[in-house]
Amino acid sequence: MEIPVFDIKGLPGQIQPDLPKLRNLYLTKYQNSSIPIVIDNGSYTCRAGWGGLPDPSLIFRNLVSSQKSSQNPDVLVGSEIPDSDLYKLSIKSPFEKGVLQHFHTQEQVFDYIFWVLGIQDTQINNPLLITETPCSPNYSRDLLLELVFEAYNIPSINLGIDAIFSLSKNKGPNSSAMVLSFGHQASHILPCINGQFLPHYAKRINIGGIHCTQSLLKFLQTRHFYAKNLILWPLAQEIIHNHCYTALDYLSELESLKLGKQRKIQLPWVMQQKPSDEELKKKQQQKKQQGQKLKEIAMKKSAEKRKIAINELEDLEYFIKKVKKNSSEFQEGLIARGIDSYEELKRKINCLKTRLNLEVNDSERYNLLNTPDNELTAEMVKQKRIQKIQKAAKDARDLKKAKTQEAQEKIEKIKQSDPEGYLKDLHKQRSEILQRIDDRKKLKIKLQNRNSRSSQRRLRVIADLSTEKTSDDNFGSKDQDWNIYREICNDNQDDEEDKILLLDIDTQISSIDKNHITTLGDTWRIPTAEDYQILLEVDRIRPAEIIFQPSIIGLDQAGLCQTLDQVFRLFPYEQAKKLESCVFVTGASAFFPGFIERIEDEVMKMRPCGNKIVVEKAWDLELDAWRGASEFCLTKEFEETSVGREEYKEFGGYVFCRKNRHFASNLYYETPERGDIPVKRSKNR
Amino acid sequence: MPKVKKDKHKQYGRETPFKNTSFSLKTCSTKPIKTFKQIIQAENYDNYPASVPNYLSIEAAPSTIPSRKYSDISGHVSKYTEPKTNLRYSNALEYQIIRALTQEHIDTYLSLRKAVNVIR
Repeated sequence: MEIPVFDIKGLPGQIQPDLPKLRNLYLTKYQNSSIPIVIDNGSYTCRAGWGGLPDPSLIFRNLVSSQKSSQNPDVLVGSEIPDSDLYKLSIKSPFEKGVLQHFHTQEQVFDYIFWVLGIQDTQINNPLLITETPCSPNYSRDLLLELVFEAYNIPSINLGIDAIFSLSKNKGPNSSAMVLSFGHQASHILPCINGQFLPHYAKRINIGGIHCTQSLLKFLQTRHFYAKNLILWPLAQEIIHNHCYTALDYLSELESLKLGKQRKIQLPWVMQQKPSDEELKKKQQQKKQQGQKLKEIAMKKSAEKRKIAINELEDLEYFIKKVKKNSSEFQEGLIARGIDSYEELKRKINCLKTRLNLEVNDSERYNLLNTPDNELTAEMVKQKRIQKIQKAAKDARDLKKAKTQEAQEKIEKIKQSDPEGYLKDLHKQRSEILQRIDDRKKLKIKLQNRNSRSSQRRLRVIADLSTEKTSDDNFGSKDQDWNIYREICNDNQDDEEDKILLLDIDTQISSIDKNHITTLGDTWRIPTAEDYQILLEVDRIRPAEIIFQPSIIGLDQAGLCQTLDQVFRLFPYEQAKKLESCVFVTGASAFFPGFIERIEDEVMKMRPCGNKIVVEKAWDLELDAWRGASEFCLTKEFEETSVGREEYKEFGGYVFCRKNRHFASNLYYETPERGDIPVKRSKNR
Repeated sequence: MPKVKKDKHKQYGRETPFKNTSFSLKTCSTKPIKTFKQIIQAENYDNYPASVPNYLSIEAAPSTIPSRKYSDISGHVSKYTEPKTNLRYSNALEYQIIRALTQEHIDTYLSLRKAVNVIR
C-alpha cells in the first residue's frame, strides 16, 4: 500500500499592519475620546486594537528581536521580525510559563503597539484593558502597573482573564460554563457560574501549544539523528497544523495507524549531480599531471644520489686496486675516507654495488662460511656467524617469494579454468570469516555476564594458571603457551585481521561478480528523494495527546481529564449539572481536528450516566477573547472597576485589592510578609 | 566631529512622544530583572491562607493513576524495558535498533521523557 507523500509549503507569514490607515483612524476617531485600547497579551501572539471594534487591528507574535546589526540599529517587534529570524536565540519574549517576567521586552512591545495605533501626541488619553493569566503573581501585576502609569502616564487601566471574555462573547454575560482554555504555555480549567468566574475552583496544567510543537520536533530530530539540521521549528509547526489530529481512543488509534493513515513528508533536498564525463576526464588528467611532476622530482633526486654513489664506488675500487695493501699510503687513505679496516672497505664496496644494482659475488659475501672455525680469528668467527644469519635470511626470503609466486600462478590457472568453482571457494571463505566474526561477538556478549558458561570457563583457566604448583616455572618456553593469552584476553586483535581478510575477499569477488554487495566498506549510491522523507505514524496523534497524558513528555502532572474530574467533584450536584451542560473550549491550542469529540467522550465517561453533556467550541478560538474584552470595555462595569492614576499613586501596587471585582477578574490578595503566620515556640527555651 | 543630537523622544527607533523619557525600566528602575523562579519564591505562597487561590495552589496535582508506557523508538504501547539503558520498546525489531545505538543517541531518547540520569 502506498503511503502518500506531502510537500512542505510553509505556513503563512505575519500580517503587516496598515500604518497610514491606523494613523488616520486615530486622528479621526480616537484622539480626543476616552475609548479604551484593548490589549490581549498572549504569550504566542498579542492582539491589540481599539475598544468597540469587531476585530483587533494588530495581531503580531509577542517577540522582540534584540539583535542590533549595523543595518538595523533599532529593536524589532512582532511582525517586523523577518520569518527566518523568528527562532533564533536572540529573540526574547516577555513571558515565561505564561507569567509576565521580562518587563524590558514588555516595554518595547507597548511602544510598538502605541506607535502603530497612530498615537503621536505627548499624552495618551485613552484607558487600557489588558488581559492576564488566572492567579498571576503580584510581582507581575506590580511591574505592569508601574510601567503603565509611570512610563506611559495612562489615565486608567483594568485587568481581566482572556478565557472568560471569550465565554461572555460566545454565550452572553450571565452564563454558567466550565471553561477550558488552552493557551500557548499552559492550559486552564475555569468554572464560571452565572457569569462570575470562581477562582477557588480553577486548575492549571502546565502544558500548552508550545509543548506539543516542541515534543514533536524533538521526537523527529531524535528519530532522524542524521538530519537534525534539516528538521527545524517551522517544519514542526507545519506538520502540527496540517497533519496532526486528536485520536478518539488513543490505543485503538495506534493500532489502526499501522494499517493505513501513515503519511510521509518530503524534506527539501538538492539532487547531487553525477559528475559529467568531461569533468571526470579533467580530474583524471590533473591527477596524472601531478603524479608525473612528483615522479620527475623523485627521478632527479635519485639520479643525483646515483651519481654520488657511482663516484664513490669508482674511487674506492681504484683505491683498492692501485694502492698496495700493507703500505702506509693505504692506511692514510683509509683514515681519510673514514674506514677502519680492509674488510670494512670491501663491505662498503659490496654495499654500493648492491645499491646500484650491480652484481655482487655471492662467494665474496659469504666467503667465510665454508672455512672451518679453527682457521679463523675471534673476530672472523663473529663475522662468520653474522654471515650465516644473513645467508639464512636471504634463503628464507627467496623461498617465500617462490612460494607466493607459485600460489598466484595456481589461482590464475583455477580462475581461467574453473571460474565458478573459484567464486564458490571465495564465497565459502567469506562465510567462514563472517561466522568467526559473529561467534566472537556472541562470545563478547556472553563474557559480560558473570554467570555464563564462557566466563566461568575463562575464570577456570586463570585460576588453574595461578595455582599450578611447579618447582621451576617454565611457562612461556614453548610457543603454544602464549596462546593462552588469546583465550583470557578480552579485547582480541583477531577481529581486525579478519576484517582485513574480509575486505580482501570482497574486492576479489566484486572484481568478478559486479552485483556483489560488500558487508564492510562504503556502499555509496546516488541519493534519491526517498532518502529525505520522514514517516509520520504515531507522530500524527501524539502531540494532541500530551494534554491528556503529560507523562508522554515526562511531566508528572495529572492529565486534562483527571483534573476535570477533580474539579467537577468539588461542586454540589446541581451546580455540577449546570457546568457540564456547557463545557466551553477556547484558546488557539485547541484547533486539532477531533479535539472536541475527544473531550465530550471523556466527560461522558466521568459523569453520571444520562446527564446532558454539551461540549462547545468558541466561534473563533484565537480572537474571541479580544472581541469579548472589546465588548466589555464599553460597559459601565469596566469604568467602575478600573484603577486610575491618582488611586495608583495613593495605594501603590496593591490598588486592585481595594477595588470591586468584575466577572472576569482575578482574585487579588496582598503578598503576606514573611513571618505573618507566627512560629510556634516551645516552652523550654 | 560634531555630535549628532539624539532625538529625545526616539527610543528604540520609534517616535514615542507620549512616553515619559525620564523613566525607562532599563535605566531608572532599581529592581533587577527577576527570573520566573525568583518571582514565585518572592510571592511567599507558603504563607497564604488556604482559602485564597494563588499561582501554585491552582496547579494540577501529580497523577494518581500509573502512566501508560509507550515505546521510545516508535511510540506504540510498550510492554518491555531494556535493563541496561532503560529504553522502552514494543517488539524485537526495536530491540535490535536499541542495541545498535550510541550512548549520545540513547541519552537523547531518554531526555524526551526526562528520564536521563546526569550523574553516572
